[in-house]
Amino acid sequence: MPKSSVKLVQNVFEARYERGYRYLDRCGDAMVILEEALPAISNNNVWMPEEMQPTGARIKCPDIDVTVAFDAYRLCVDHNPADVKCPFEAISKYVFDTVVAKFDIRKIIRLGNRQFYVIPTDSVEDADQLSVKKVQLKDWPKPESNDMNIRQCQVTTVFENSDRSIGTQLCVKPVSRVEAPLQVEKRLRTPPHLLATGQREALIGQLRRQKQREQDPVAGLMVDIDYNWVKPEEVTLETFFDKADKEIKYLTGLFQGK
Amino acid sequence: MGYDNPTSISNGVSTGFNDTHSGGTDSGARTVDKVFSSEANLDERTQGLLSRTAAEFRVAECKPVVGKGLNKSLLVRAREILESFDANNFVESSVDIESLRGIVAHLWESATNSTQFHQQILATLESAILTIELPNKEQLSLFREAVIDLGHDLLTQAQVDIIQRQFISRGFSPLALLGDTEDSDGSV
Repeated sequence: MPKSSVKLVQNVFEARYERGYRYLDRCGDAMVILEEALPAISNNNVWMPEEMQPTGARIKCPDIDVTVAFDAYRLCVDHNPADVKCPFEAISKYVFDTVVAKFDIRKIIRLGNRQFYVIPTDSVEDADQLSVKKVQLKDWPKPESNDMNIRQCQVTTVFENSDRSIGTQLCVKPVSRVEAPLQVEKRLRTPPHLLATGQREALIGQLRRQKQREQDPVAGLMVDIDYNWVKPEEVTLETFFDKADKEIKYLTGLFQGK
Repeated sequence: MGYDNPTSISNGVSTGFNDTHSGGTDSGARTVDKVFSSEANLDERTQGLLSRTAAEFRVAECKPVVGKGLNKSLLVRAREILESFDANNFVESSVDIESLRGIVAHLWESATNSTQFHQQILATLESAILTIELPNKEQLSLFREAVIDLGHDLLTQAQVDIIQRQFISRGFSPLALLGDTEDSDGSV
Protein backbone atom coordinates (compact mmCIF):
# COMPACT_ATOMS: atom_id res chain seq x y z
CA MET A 1 0.00 0.00 0.00
CA PRO A 2 1.64 3.31 -1.04
CA LYS A 3 2.25 5.86 1.72
CA SER A 4 0.11 8.98 1.63
CA SER A 5 -0.14 12.00 3.85
CA VAL A 6 -3.26 13.32 5.49
CA LYS A 7 -5.27 15.60 3.18
CA LEU A 8 -7.84 18.13 4.34
CA VAL A 9 -11.03 17.70 2.34
CA GLN A 10 -13.55 19.83 4.23
CA ASN A 11 -13.44 22.49 6.93
CA VAL A 12 -16.56 23.70 8.73
CA PHE A 13 -17.09 26.39 11.34
CA GLU A 14 -20.45 26.54 13.05
CA ALA A 15 -21.88 28.80 15.75
CA ARG A 16 -25.24 28.16 17.36
CA TYR A 17 -26.95 30.93 19.23
CA GLU A 18 -30.05 31.82 21.18
CA ARG A 19 -32.72 34.33 20.19
CA GLY A 20 -31.47 35.11 16.74
CA TYR A 21 -34.95 36.20 15.68
CA ARG A 22 -33.62 39.49 14.34
CA TYR A 23 -32.53 37.39 11.40
CA LEU A 24 -35.98 37.98 9.99
CA ASP A 25 -35.59 41.75 10.31
CA ARG A 26 -32.00 42.19 9.26
CA CYS A 27 -30.98 39.37 6.95
CA GLY A 28 -30.72 41.87 4.09
CA ASP A 29 -28.37 44.13 6.06
CA ALA A 30 -26.09 41.21 6.88
CA MET A 31 -26.13 39.99 3.28
CA VAL A 32 -25.27 43.43 1.86
CA ILE A 33 -22.36 43.80 4.29
CA LEU A 34 -21.02 40.31 3.61
CA GLU A 35 -21.32 40.69 -0.15
CA GLU A 36 -19.30 43.90 -0.03
CA ALA A 37 -16.75 43.04 2.64
CA LEU A 38 -15.92 39.37 2.11
CA PRO A 39 -14.15 39.84 -1.26
CA ALA A 40 -11.57 42.04 0.46
CA ILE A 41 -10.86 39.26 2.96
CA SER A 42 -10.78 36.49 0.37
CA ASN A 43 -8.28 37.86 -2.18
CA ASN A 44 -10.91 39.81 -4.13
CA ASN A 45 -12.90 36.73 -5.06
CA VAL A 46 -16.54 37.49 -5.74
CA TRP A 47 -19.24 36.32 -3.36
CA MET A 48 -22.70 35.57 -4.69
CA PRO A 49 -25.85 35.55 -2.59
CA GLU A 50 -27.60 32.30 -3.39
CA GLU A 51 -30.63 32.23 -1.22
CA MET A 52 -32.55 34.46 1.17
CA GLN A 53 -35.55 32.82 2.75
CA PRO A 54 -37.23 33.16 6.13
CA THR A 55 -35.72 29.76 6.88
CA GLY A 56 -32.15 30.74 6.06
CA ALA A 57 -29.77 32.64 3.84
CA ARG A 58 -26.72 31.54 1.90
CA ILE A 59 -23.86 33.31 0.17
CA LYS A 60 -21.15 31.50 -1.74
CA CYS A 61 -17.74 32.17 -3.21
CA PRO A 62 -17.34 29.67 -6.07
CA ASP A 63 -13.68 30.54 -6.64
CA ILE A 64 -12.59 29.27 -3.24
CA ASP A 65 -15.52 26.89 -2.60
CA VAL A 66 -16.64 28.55 0.61
CA THR A 67 -20.31 28.75 1.52
CA VAL A 68 -21.70 30.86 4.34
CA ALA A 69 -25.17 30.02 5.62
CA PHE A 70 -27.08 31.51 8.52
CA ASP A 71 -30.53 31.59 10.01
CA ALA A 72 -32.20 32.46 13.29
CA TYR A 73 -30.41 29.68 15.15
CA ARG A 74 -26.96 29.21 13.71
CA LEU A 75 -24.36 30.25 11.19
CA CYS A 76 -22.08 28.00 9.25
CA VAL A 77 -18.98 28.56 7.14
CA ASP A 78 -18.23 25.57 4.96
CA HIS A 79 -15.06 25.14 2.91
CA ASN A 80 -15.73 22.16 0.67
CA PRO A 81 -13.70 20.92 -1.08
CA ALA A 82 -10.80 22.44 0.81
CA ASP A 83 -8.43 22.27 -2.16
CA VAL A 84 -8.02 25.99 -2.71
CA LYS A 85 -6.35 27.76 0.21
CA CYS A 86 -8.41 30.53 1.73
CA PRO A 87 -8.37 32.67 4.89
CA PHE A 88 -11.00 30.48 6.50
CA GLU A 89 -10.57 31.86 10.01
CA ALA A 90 -10.73 35.49 8.91
CA ILE A 91 -13.88 34.80 6.90
CA SER A 92 -15.46 32.94 9.81
CA LYS A 93 -14.62 35.71 12.23
CA TYR A 94 -15.99 38.44 9.99
CA VAL A 95 -19.22 36.55 9.38
CA PHE A 96 -19.57 35.73 13.07
CA ASP A 97 -19.05 39.34 14.19
CA THR A 98 -21.45 40.63 11.56
CA VAL A 99 -24.18 38.18 12.49
CA VAL A 100 -23.70 38.80 16.24
CA ALA A 101 -23.92 42.57 15.73
CA LYS A 102 -26.78 42.71 13.25
CA PHE A 103 -28.98 40.04 14.84
CA ASP A 104 -28.23 41.26 18.36
CA ILE A 105 -27.01 37.85 19.49
CA ARG A 106 -26.37 37.75 23.24
CA LYS A 107 -25.79 34.12 23.97
CA ILE A 108 -23.71 31.60 22.05
CA ILE A 109 -24.79 28.02 22.65
CA ARG A 110 -22.03 26.23 20.81
CA LEU A 111 -18.98 26.89 18.66
CA GLY A 112 -17.63 24.09 16.51
CA ASN A 113 -14.78 23.59 14.09
CA ARG A 114 -15.05 20.34 12.21
CA GLN A 115 -12.38 19.20 9.82
CA PHE A 116 -12.48 16.17 7.56
CA TYR A 117 -9.18 14.64 6.52
CA VAL A 118 -8.55 11.71 4.23
CA ILE A 119 -5.52 9.49 4.07
CA PRO A 120 -5.84 8.56 0.41
CA THR A 121 -5.64 5.01 -0.91
CA ASP A 122 -5.99 3.49 -4.36
CA SER A 123 -8.85 1.14 -3.63
CA VAL A 124 -11.62 0.23 -1.22
CA GLU A 125 -9.63 -2.76 0.01
CA ASP A 126 -6.62 -0.58 0.76
CA ALA A 127 -8.85 1.79 2.73
CA ASP A 128 -10.18 -1.12 4.78
CA GLN A 129 -6.67 -2.42 5.45
CA LEU A 130 -5.51 1.03 6.46
CA SER A 131 -8.40 1.36 8.90
CA VAL A 132 -7.35 -1.88 10.60
CA LYS A 133 -3.76 -0.71 10.72
CA LYS A 134 -4.42 2.79 12.03
CA VAL A 135 -7.25 2.05 14.42
CA GLN A 136 -5.32 0.01 16.90
CA LEU A 137 -7.93 -2.08 18.62
CA LYS A 138 -5.51 -5.02 18.63
CA ASP A 139 -7.55 -8.19 18.71
CA TRP A 140 -10.58 -6.82 20.46
CA PRO A 141 -13.27 -7.93 20.06
CA LYS A 142 -12.52 -11.43 18.82
CA PRO A 143 -15.10 -13.17 16.68
CA GLU A 144 -16.44 -16.45 17.93
CA SER A 145 -15.46 -18.26 14.80
CA ASN A 146 -11.73 -18.58 14.18
CA ASP A 147 -12.02 -18.34 10.42
CA MET A 148 -12.93 -14.64 10.59
CA ASN A 149 -10.54 -11.72 10.76
CA ILE A 150 -10.98 -8.00 11.21
CA ARG A 151 -11.68 -6.56 7.78
CA GLN A 152 -12.22 -2.91 8.65
CA CYS A 153 -12.50 -0.65 11.70
CA GLN A 154 -14.60 2.39 12.43
CA VAL A 155 -14.10 4.22 15.66
CA THR A 156 -15.68 7.29 17.24
CA THR A 157 -14.12 8.72 20.37
CA VAL A 158 -15.35 11.69 22.36
CA PHE A 159 -13.13 13.71 24.69
CA GLU A 160 -14.65 16.26 27.08
CA ASN A 161 -13.48 18.29 30.02
CA SER A 162 -15.07 17.84 33.43
CA ASP A 163 -17.84 20.40 33.01
CA ARG A 164 -18.38 19.29 29.40
CA SER A 165 -17.87 22.78 28.07
CA ILE A 166 -14.97 21.86 25.79
CA GLY A 167 -14.88 18.73 23.71
CA THR A 168 -13.51 16.95 20.70
CA GLN A 169 -15.01 14.14 18.70
CA LEU A 170 -12.70 11.99 16.66
CA CYS A 171 -14.21 9.64 14.13
CA VAL A 172 -12.09 7.37 11.95
CA LYS A 173 -13.55 5.23 9.21
CA PRO A 174 -12.77 4.02 5.71
CA VAL A 175 -14.57 5.88 2.94
CA SER A 176 -14.76 5.62 -0.83
CA ARG A 177 -16.40 7.17 -3.84
CA VAL A 178 -18.71 5.21 -6.09
CA GLU A 179 -16.07 5.03 -8.80
CA ALA A 180 -13.35 3.66 -6.51
CA PRO A 181 -11.96 0.26 -7.57
CA LEU A 182 -12.57 -2.51 -5.07
CA GLN A 183 -8.92 -3.53 -5.23
CA VAL A 184 -5.77 -2.93 -7.20
CA GLU A 185 -4.00 -5.97 -8.57
CA LYS A 186 -0.73 -6.82 -6.89
CA ARG A 187 0.93 -7.03 -10.29
CA LEU A 188 0.12 -3.36 -10.92
CA ARG A 189 2.05 -2.40 -7.82
CA THR A 190 5.23 -4.17 -8.85
CA PRO A 191 7.98 -1.65 -9.64
CA PRO A 192 7.87 -1.22 -13.44
CA HIS A 193 11.55 -1.98 -13.92
CA LEU A 194 11.02 -5.47 -12.50
CA LEU A 195 8.40 -6.33 -15.11
CA ALA A 196 9.38 -8.42 -18.09
CA THR A 197 7.12 -6.51 -20.49
CA GLY A 198 4.95 -3.37 -20.51
CA GLN A 199 7.19 -1.35 -18.22
CA ARG A 200 6.15 1.95 -19.75
CA GLU A 201 2.40 1.27 -19.40
CA ALA A 202 2.91 0.09 -15.84
CA LEU A 203 4.85 3.22 -14.96
CA ILE A 204 2.18 5.46 -16.49
CA GLY A 205 -0.51 3.58 -14.60
CA GLN A 206 1.32 3.98 -11.30
CA LEU A 207 1.91 7.68 -11.86
CA ARG A 208 -1.72 8.16 -12.79
CA ARG A 209 -2.88 6.47 -9.58
CA GLN A 210 -0.41 8.51 -7.55
CA LYS A 211 -1.72 11.75 -9.05
CA GLN A 212 -5.30 10.67 -8.41
CA ARG A 213 -4.40 9.88 -4.81
CA GLU A 214 -2.81 13.26 -4.25
CA GLN A 215 -5.32 15.44 -6.05
CA ASP A 216 -8.68 13.77 -5.85
CA PRO A 217 -8.60 10.55 -3.83
CA VAL A 218 -11.31 8.02 -4.63
CA ALA A 219 -10.91 6.10 -1.39
CA GLY A 220 -9.13 6.37 1.90
CA LEU A 221 -9.35 6.55 5.63
CA MET A 222 -11.39 9.50 6.81
CA VAL A 223 -10.35 11.27 9.99
CA ASP A 224 -13.21 13.50 11.11
CA ILE A 225 -12.38 15.84 13.99
CA ASP A 226 -14.95 18.10 15.61
CA TYR A 227 -13.61 20.51 18.23
CA ASN A 228 -16.22 22.50 20.11
CA TRP A 229 -17.08 24.80 22.98
CA VAL A 230 -20.47 24.54 24.60
CA LYS A 231 -22.01 27.67 26.16
CA PRO A 232 -18.72 29.57 26.31
CA GLU A 233 -18.70 32.42 28.82
CA GLU A 234 -16.31 34.55 26.83
CA VAL A 235 -16.36 34.25 23.09
CA THR A 236 -13.10 35.11 21.39
CA LEU A 237 -12.85 33.39 18.07
CA GLU A 238 -9.08 33.88 17.89
CA THR A 239 -8.68 31.77 21.04
CA PHE A 240 -11.22 29.26 19.81
CA PHE A 241 -9.45 28.76 16.49
CA ASP A 242 -6.03 28.65 18.16
CA LYS A 243 -7.15 25.87 20.47
CA ALA A 244 -9.03 24.04 17.73
CA ASP A 245 -5.98 24.20 15.51
CA LYS A 246 -3.72 22.86 18.23
CA GLU A 247 -6.05 19.99 19.07
CA ILE A 248 -6.72 19.06 15.45
CA LYS A 249 -3.04 19.21 14.52
CA TYR A 250 -2.21 16.92 17.40
CA LEU A 251 -4.88 14.39 16.45
CA THR A 252 -4.07 14.39 12.73
CA GLY A 253 -0.40 14.02 13.68
CA LEU A 254 -1.26 10.64 15.12
CA PHE A 255 -2.25 9.49 11.64
CA GLN A 256 0.74 10.93 9.79
CA GLY A 257 3.69 8.85 8.73
CA LYS A 258 3.81 5.10 8.88
CA MET B 1 -23.31 17.53 25.76
CA GLY B 2 -21.65 18.86 22.66
CA TYR B 3 -21.91 15.62 20.77
CA ASP B 4 -25.58 15.06 20.96
CA ASN B 5 -25.50 17.15 17.83
CA PRO B 6 -22.10 17.56 16.21
CA THR B 7 -21.02 20.48 14.07
CA SER B 8 -23.27 20.30 11.07
CA ILE B 9 -22.70 21.38 7.54
CA SER B 10 -24.43 24.40 6.12
CA ASN B 11 -25.53 23.54 2.67
CA GLY B 12 -25.70 19.80 2.99
CA VAL B 13 -22.93 19.26 0.47
CA SER B 14 -20.92 16.41 1.88
CA THR B 15 -17.36 15.34 1.33
CA GLY B 16 -18.59 13.08 -1.44
CA PHE B 17 -17.34 9.86 0.08
CA ASN B 18 -19.30 6.80 1.11
CA ASP B 19 -18.39 4.42 3.88
CA THR B 20 -16.70 1.38 2.40
CA HIS B 21 -18.53 -1.11 4.56
CA SER B 22 -20.30 -3.18 1.99
CA GLY B 23 -21.67 -6.67 1.74
CA GLY B 24 -22.15 -6.89 5.49
CA THR B 25 -25.26 -8.20 7.18
CA ASP B 26 -26.25 -4.80 8.55
CA SER B 27 -27.20 -1.74 6.56
CA GLY B 28 -23.73 -0.32 6.93
CA ALA B 29 -23.67 1.27 3.54
CA ARG B 30 -24.90 4.59 4.87
CA THR B 31 -23.45 7.58 3.16
CA VAL B 32 -21.68 10.48 4.75
CA ASP B 33 -24.44 12.67 3.33
CA LYS B 34 -27.04 10.94 5.42
CA VAL B 35 -25.06 11.42 8.56
CA PHE B 36 -25.13 15.17 8.23
CA SER B 37 -27.95 16.50 6.15
CA SER B 38 -29.64 16.20 2.83
CA GLU B 39 -27.91 17.01 -0.40
CA ALA B 40 -28.31 20.57 -1.60
CA ASN B 41 -30.47 20.65 -4.68
CA LEU B 42 -29.49 23.52 -6.85
CA ASP B 43 -32.33 24.48 -9.12
CA GLU B 44 -31.73 25.22 -12.76
CA ARG B 45 -31.64 28.94 -12.20
CA THR B 46 -28.92 28.69 -9.57
CA GLN B 47 -26.91 26.31 -11.71
CA GLY B 48 -27.21 28.80 -14.53
CA LEU B 49 -25.81 31.49 -12.29
CA LEU B 50 -22.94 29.31 -11.19
CA SER B 51 -22.00 28.50 -14.76
CA ARG B 52 -21.29 32.17 -15.43
CA THR B 53 -17.90 33.53 -14.56
CA ALA B 54 -17.50 35.19 -11.21
CA ALA B 55 -16.27 38.37 -12.85
CA GLU B 56 -19.69 38.90 -14.41
CA PHE B 57 -21.09 39.45 -10.94
CA ARG B 58 -18.51 41.94 -9.80
CA VAL B 59 -20.17 45.04 -8.41
CA ALA B 60 -18.30 48.21 -9.21
CA GLU B 61 -19.22 50.11 -6.08
CA CYS B 62 -18.02 47.42 -3.67
CA LYS B 63 -14.96 49.09 -2.27
CA PRO B 64 -14.29 47.94 1.25
CA VAL B 65 -11.55 49.82 3.00
CA VAL B 66 -9.07 48.10 5.26
CA GLY B 67 -7.34 50.05 7.97
CA LYS B 68 -5.56 49.30 11.19
CA GLY B 69 -8.79 49.78 13.05
CA LEU B 70 -9.39 51.37 16.40
CA ASN B 71 -7.90 50.56 19.79
CA LYS B 72 -9.12 46.99 20.34
CA SER B 73 -8.78 46.94 24.12
CA LEU B 74 -10.95 50.05 24.45
CA LEU B 75 -13.54 48.47 22.18
CA VAL B 76 -13.54 45.30 24.28
CA ARG B 77 -14.03 47.39 27.42
CA ALA B 78 -16.88 49.30 25.76
CA ARG B 79 -18.53 46.05 24.80
CA GLU B 80 -18.18 44.70 28.33
CA ILE B 81 -19.82 47.82 29.75
CA LEU B 82 -22.67 47.61 27.27
CA GLU B 83 -23.28 43.94 27.95
CA SER B 84 -23.39 44.43 31.71
CA PHE B 85 -25.39 47.65 31.55
CA ASP B 86 -28.17 47.73 34.13
CA ALA B 87 -30.74 50.36 33.18
CA ASN B 88 -32.65 49.79 36.45
CA ASN B 89 -29.76 50.99 38.57
CA PHE B 90 -29.61 54.74 37.95
CA VAL B 91 -26.29 55.34 39.69
CA GLU B 92 -24.46 52.50 37.99
CA SER B 93 -25.93 53.26 34.60
CA SER B 94 -24.88 56.91 34.91
CA VAL B 95 -21.34 55.80 35.72
CA ASP B 96 -21.42 53.39 32.77
CA ILE B 97 -22.56 56.10 30.39
CA GLU B 98 -19.78 58.38 31.62
CA SER B 99 -17.28 55.56 31.10
CA LEU B 100 -18.56 55.04 27.58
CA ARG B 101 -18.18 58.75 26.86
CA GLY B 102 -14.59 58.56 28.09
CA ILE B 103 -13.86 55.48 25.98
CA VAL B 104 -15.32 57.05 22.86
CA ALA B 105 -13.24 60.18 23.43
CA HIS B 106 -10.11 58.05 23.77
CA LEU B 107 -10.99 56.04 20.67
CA TRP B 108 -10.44 59.17 18.60
CA GLU B 109 -6.74 58.93 19.47
CA SER B 110 -6.47 55.70 17.46
CA ALA B 111 -8.88 56.93 14.78
CA THR B 112 -6.09 58.49 12.76
CA ASN B 113 -4.92 54.98 11.82
CA SER B 114 -8.41 53.90 10.88
CA THR B 115 -10.52 54.49 7.79
CA GLN B 116 -13.07 57.18 7.10
CA PHE B 117 -15.79 54.56 7.65
CA HIS B 118 -14.53 53.91 11.17
CA GLN B 119 -14.48 57.63 11.81
CA GLN B 120 -18.02 58.08 10.50
CA ILE B 121 -19.40 55.33 12.74
CA LEU B 122 -17.40 56.61 15.70
CA ALA B 123 -18.75 60.13 15.15
CA THR B 124 -22.32 58.81 15.01
CA LEU B 125 -21.78 56.77 18.16
CA GLU B 126 -20.19 59.66 19.98
CA SER B 127 -22.98 62.01 19.01
CA ALA B 128 -25.56 59.54 20.35
CA ILE B 129 -23.71 58.82 23.59
CA LEU B 130 -23.18 62.49 24.33
CA THR B 131 -26.85 63.36 23.87
CA ILE B 132 -28.42 60.54 25.82
CA GLU B 133 -28.85 60.26 29.56
CA LEU B 134 -30.25 56.79 30.01
CA PRO B 135 -30.47 54.54 26.95
CA ASN B 136 -33.28 52.05 26.54
CA LYS B 137 -32.73 48.42 25.50
CA GLU B 138 -32.99 49.09 21.79
CA GLN B 139 -30.53 51.94 21.99
CA LEU B 140 -28.14 49.83 24.02
CA SER B 141 -28.17 47.06 21.45
CA LEU B 142 -27.52 49.68 18.80
CA PHE B 143 -24.48 50.98 20.69
CA ARG B 144 -23.26 47.40 20.97
CA GLU B 145 -23.76 46.90 17.24
CA ALA B 146 -21.74 50.04 16.51
CA VAL B 147 -18.95 48.94 18.85
CA ILE B 148 -18.76 45.50 17.21
CA ASP B 149 -18.67 47.13 13.77
CA LEU B 150 -15.85 49.38 14.92
CA GLY B 151 -13.90 46.26 15.89
CA HIS B 152 -13.58 45.24 12.23
CA ASP B 153 -10.41 46.27 10.46
CA LEU B 154 -12.40 46.30 7.29
CA LEU B 155 -15.55 48.35 6.84
CA THR B 156 -17.72 49.21 3.88
CA GLN B 157 -19.99 52.11 3.01
CA ALA B 158 -22.93 49.75 3.49
CA GLN B 159 -22.00 49.26 7.15
CA VAL B 160 -21.89 53.00 7.71
CA ASP B 161 -25.21 53.56 5.94
CA ILE B 162 -26.89 50.75 7.86
CA ILE B 163 -25.65 51.88 11.26
CA GLN B 164 -26.58 55.51 10.59
CA ARG B 165 -30.04 54.46 9.48
CA GLN B 166 -30.41 52.43 12.67
CA PHE B 167 -29.37 55.38 14.82
CA ILE B 168 -31.93 57.64 13.16
CA SER B 169 -34.68 55.04 13.42
CA ARG B 170 -34.01 54.71 17.15
CA GLY B 171 -34.34 58.36 17.93
CA PHE B 172 -30.88 59.77 17.40
CA SER B 173 -30.73 62.73 15.12
CA PRO B 174 -27.46 63.22 13.26
CA LEU B 175 -27.67 66.90 14.23
CA ALA B 176 -28.61 66.30 17.85
CA LEU B 177 -25.39 67.79 19.16
CA LEU B 178 -26.15 71.07 17.41
CA GLY B 179 -29.51 71.29 19.18
CA ASP B 180 -28.05 73.04 22.19
CA THR B 181 -25.89 75.52 20.38
CA GLU B 182 -26.70 79.18 20.28
CA ASP B 183 -28.32 80.57 17.16
CA SER B 184 -26.93 83.69 15.55
CA ASP B 185 -29.55 85.84 17.28
CA GLY B 186 -28.39 84.61 20.67
CA SER B 187 -31.35 82.35 21.39
CA VAL B 188 -30.75 78.72 22.39
